Amino acid sequence: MNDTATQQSQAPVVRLRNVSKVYDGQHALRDVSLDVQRGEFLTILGPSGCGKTTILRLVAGFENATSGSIAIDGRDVTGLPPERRNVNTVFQSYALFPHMNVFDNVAFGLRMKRRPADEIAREVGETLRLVQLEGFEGRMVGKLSGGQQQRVAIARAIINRPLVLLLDEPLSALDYRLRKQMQLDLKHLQRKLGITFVLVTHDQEEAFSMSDRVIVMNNGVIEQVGTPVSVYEEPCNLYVARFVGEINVIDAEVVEPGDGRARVRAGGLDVFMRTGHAFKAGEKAHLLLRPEDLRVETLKDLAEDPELEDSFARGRSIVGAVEETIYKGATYDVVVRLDAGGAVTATEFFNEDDETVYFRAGDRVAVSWVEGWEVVLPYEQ
Amino acid sequence: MSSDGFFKRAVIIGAVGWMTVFAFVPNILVFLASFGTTSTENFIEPAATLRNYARLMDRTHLDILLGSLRLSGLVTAICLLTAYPFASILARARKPVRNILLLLVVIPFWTNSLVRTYAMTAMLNSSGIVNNVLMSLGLIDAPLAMMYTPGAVVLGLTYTLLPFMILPLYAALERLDRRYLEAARDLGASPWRAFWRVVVPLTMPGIVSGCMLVFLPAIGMFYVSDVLGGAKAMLLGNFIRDQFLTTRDWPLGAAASVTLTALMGLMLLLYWKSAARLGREAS
Repeated sequence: MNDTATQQSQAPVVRLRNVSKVYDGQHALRDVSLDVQRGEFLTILGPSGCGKTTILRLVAGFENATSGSIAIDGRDVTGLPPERRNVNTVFQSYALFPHMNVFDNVAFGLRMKRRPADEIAREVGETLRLVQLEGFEGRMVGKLSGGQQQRVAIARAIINRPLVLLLDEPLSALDYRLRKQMQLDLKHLQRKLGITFVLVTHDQEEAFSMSDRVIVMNNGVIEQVGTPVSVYEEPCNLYVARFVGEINVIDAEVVEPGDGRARVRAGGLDVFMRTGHAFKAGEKAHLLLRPEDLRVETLKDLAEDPELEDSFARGRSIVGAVEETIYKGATYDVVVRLDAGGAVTATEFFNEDDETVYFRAGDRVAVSWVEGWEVVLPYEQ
Repeated sequence: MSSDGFFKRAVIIGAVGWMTVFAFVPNILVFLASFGTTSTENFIEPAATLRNYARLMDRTHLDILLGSLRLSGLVTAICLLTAYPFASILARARKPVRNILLLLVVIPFWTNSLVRTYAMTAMLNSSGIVNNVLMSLGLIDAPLAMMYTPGAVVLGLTYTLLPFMILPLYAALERLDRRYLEAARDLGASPWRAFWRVVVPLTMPGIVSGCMLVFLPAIGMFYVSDVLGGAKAMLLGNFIRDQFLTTRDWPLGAAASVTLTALMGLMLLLYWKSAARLGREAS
């Protein structure tokens, strides 16, 4: 393989550079730069109106950027109409052609390329097999269930072998169970085809379960880019931390900054904590703890059982009183009002060995977590 | 019985009674008359003959029928070709612009269409506005003979019936989801092919109803042909009117009238069939 070929296969398949989009004086996107790597499953995650769909529409060619540049496969696509871009879209409500049956919908792209009829018939058959819709060729799309329509929409797009498949909240119209199944199916399909997928969603669980990389957006800017694990465990700011799941935020103060860790005072504690941020001594900060990372024990149990005490906290526990417990099925949430002020929520699993372990309002408890699982962020207003 | 129930009943009986007396009975009379004969004493002698229908099939009458269909077809085609782009612009225009354009479409309804047809003579006759403008511009030396030609009738019918084409097309285009168009472009269709493959099929119900609303009235609008086309009976409507008021051959007029009604009924039936099929496919 020569150098240019290697270079091309490693170059990002989609590249946005300083892209802004303004609608009626409102910024939908503000100076967004972003690379989509070849073959990856990238998810753009954010609340409605954050600009995530605008990115898809710009890449697909339905809109033009107000400023900045977009390149697909190394080629600038400014002004190139959608039909001349090697990307395809799965629309939010599928936009299947209601006057055509399943076969004609799926065959549409190949017919536009004027492929011979026998080749089209073969390809449509293969693609429908891939999405498990064999035998549905003659059905009108309006007669299909939501899940089936979804698969026709995917088949209609992937039959064109796009460089990138753009999926705009493709699962939002499906019920919970079907959505779970389709998430798996989509992921498997993506691996099988090796096509780059860019998916837009507001559902963090969906984003995490499918993607290689996640982009968290807010108000037209990218807040954080990373693997699902890094975004969840190392959120770069409060917005990301809160958007990608439940999290407890406790006011803190940095007593002694250090390299990779800092002595932090929070909730009555004064210990060294891990942090990637540079602080000044005396600076205000946030201590972030995920509910599922927290352990709760009653002070009474800890006092009576030295072994439990020993395995529990090693001096990094926060004391408070149980405010309420909320039954969640597989787990339950314990809301603890801290003595030092504020409250935290801890998610606990039922202990199968001991039916009686359940907290009552007013119980005096200690809350702890595994050292290093905390996140310390600079203070935000 | 409650007063509400009485009111409902009164309204229904009133409407049914009105339709029976002024629409159903006259149509039955025309239908019966079409099988009758005429005599010097009476316009109608009761009979049961198909002679009137046979007479309609002769050369001259058939020519009038076909000519009328051709003229109406031409008017329909012109209306469709001009209304479609206009309705597209209308459907895509911003709200204030759209309201103004819709108002312009509706304004002609505020004036009686016979009056508007006479107004067209002021535009078209030899000393009319069009000729005056063209002559003052030096484009022509002598006035064009536009009045009393089939062209004038086509123009008049198009002018009168255009709103009936625009409104259903507008309704269909406005309902059309833009995402179908985007999906087509996304899948590699040029704007032109996306139009033919997606927009036209999806607005077909609007196209068909617009065509029905133009074609059917155009066959019968005898006063447009009278005012702008002169004495020649260009439309089936003129022919029917002449049989009743001029030639006094009521049975023949009745037969032509029944034929026209049957023709319209047949086309409506075809429309409903195709609409039902499209509806089945779309839902």
